[in-house]
Amino acid sequence: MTNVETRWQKVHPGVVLALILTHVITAFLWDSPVLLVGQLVFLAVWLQIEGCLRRVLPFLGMGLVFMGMFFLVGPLFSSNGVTFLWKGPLVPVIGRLDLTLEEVVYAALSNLRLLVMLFGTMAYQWFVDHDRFLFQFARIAPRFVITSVMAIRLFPFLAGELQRITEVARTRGIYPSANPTFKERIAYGQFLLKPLLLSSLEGSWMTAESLYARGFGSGRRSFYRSVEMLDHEKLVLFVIVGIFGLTMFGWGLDFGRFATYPQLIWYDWVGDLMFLAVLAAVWSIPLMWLGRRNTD
Amino acid sequence: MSLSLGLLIGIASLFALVLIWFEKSKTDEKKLAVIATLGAVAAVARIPFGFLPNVQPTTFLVMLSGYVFGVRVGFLVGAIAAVLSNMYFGQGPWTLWQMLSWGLAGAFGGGLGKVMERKGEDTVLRPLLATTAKKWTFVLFCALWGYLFGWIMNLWYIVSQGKYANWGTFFGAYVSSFSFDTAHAVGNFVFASLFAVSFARIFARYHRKLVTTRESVVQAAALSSVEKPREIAGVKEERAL
Repeated sequence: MTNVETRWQKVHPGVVLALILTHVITAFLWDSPVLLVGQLVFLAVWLQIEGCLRRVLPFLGMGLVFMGMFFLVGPLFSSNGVTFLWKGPLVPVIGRLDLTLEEVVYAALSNLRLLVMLFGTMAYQWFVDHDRFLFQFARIAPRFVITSVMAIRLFPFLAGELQRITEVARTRGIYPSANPTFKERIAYGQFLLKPLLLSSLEGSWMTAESLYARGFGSGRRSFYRSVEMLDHEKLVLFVIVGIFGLTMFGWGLDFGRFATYPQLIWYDWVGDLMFLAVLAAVWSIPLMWLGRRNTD
Repeated sequence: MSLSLGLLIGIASLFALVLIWFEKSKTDEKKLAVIATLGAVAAVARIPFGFLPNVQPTTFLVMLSGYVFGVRVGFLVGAIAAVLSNMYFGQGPWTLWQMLSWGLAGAFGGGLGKVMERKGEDTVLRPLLATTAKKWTFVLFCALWGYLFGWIMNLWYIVSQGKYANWGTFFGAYVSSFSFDTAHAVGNFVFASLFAVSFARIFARYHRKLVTTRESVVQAAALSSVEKPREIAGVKEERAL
């Protein structure tokens, strides 16, 4: 997951982050399923074009389990809506267990919003170069940046180290049985962790020595590397601000309005569709602009 | 202001405060390297246990880091472990809340260490979690943090509901996560009861090395500042002779 390189990582991280944040924040503005689904599809297409969508799927697993549980439990314990699908028993403290159409739709919309957030986070993971992003804060938070960058570097190294320890153990005939019990698995996992802990702590000592040798702690640095924003990236940033403004304007005109409680009311789904078409067009502008400029 | 917005502002303010605290502190390069390493180890430690939902030694390792190295290191190790391990398991809206939960678990471990292992002249040399009472107190708090972690994590779901979050959402989230939280608590209990003492020994060995080096450097600096005038005086005396 960390080794994926996309052309977006070459774009200024602030611009890409602004683009992703616009999507995530606006997902909280509207309740219309049309706009939420549209936004989700747009993000999915963006990920697909960059060849990352298939990588999202394995990570969706746990998220979907939680979403499924919330989808079942949420409506059951809330008492809203008027279109009853099921009326259950009265339970002390909680009240009546019931299921209404409004609660189910509300839970579905919440999960759609969660998926938009999830796709947005995935886009951040793959489209923002973490090093370049962190370097932006090197001047104001040098200790935090150096610690984070070091940890990011160490993660693949330690994962490789763990693999190496596992292989060494296997060559010495130490591996769990074909059908290990829970206790055996835990014991084997801990058996691998101990040498990893010892070697990594020794390694951190070497890292500290290297830092010291390079003058860390002898005063503030005289030079900080930062990523400069190019002219066309500045323009795109203005466009993103404009998109956010347009979204707010549309929201002010009641586009995306959808009432869940007490009864489902979809005020203007045709208007929502038209607004989505306009939004999809303006959402594409930064993608096309930045994508084209950076692949020339 | 809605509940969700309040929670988001609260968590952002807490992270900003911790960041300022960390930047203003006199953390040397050795401690920085320890934070980065332990954060990465706690993150990597999730991998061999990925087959068990919500059972991983990260919480235990983060709390132990705090217990041995202090509150600040504990919080930062927890926050870093969340970000890094999600590079493997998948980032999501939950990452920020995992940073908070594990960060607080680490800070709590630091506080616990401060209370249980009272500072004295022999603090560095004394073995940690040496008595049965200390060991089981640590183990029980590790298990408790299995639940606390889940309860804090549930907030991300409530926040994601925006203005529509209500008591039903709140209750639903806590009921549906109960089995996962219990698995986490049981896992923490098992890890801590089996390995807390031996891992504490490894951490303490490194901590001892860290403190000893730092103290020897401080002592050397103090000695040199005392002896320098003598040497200079000696040179002057020789020259005078």
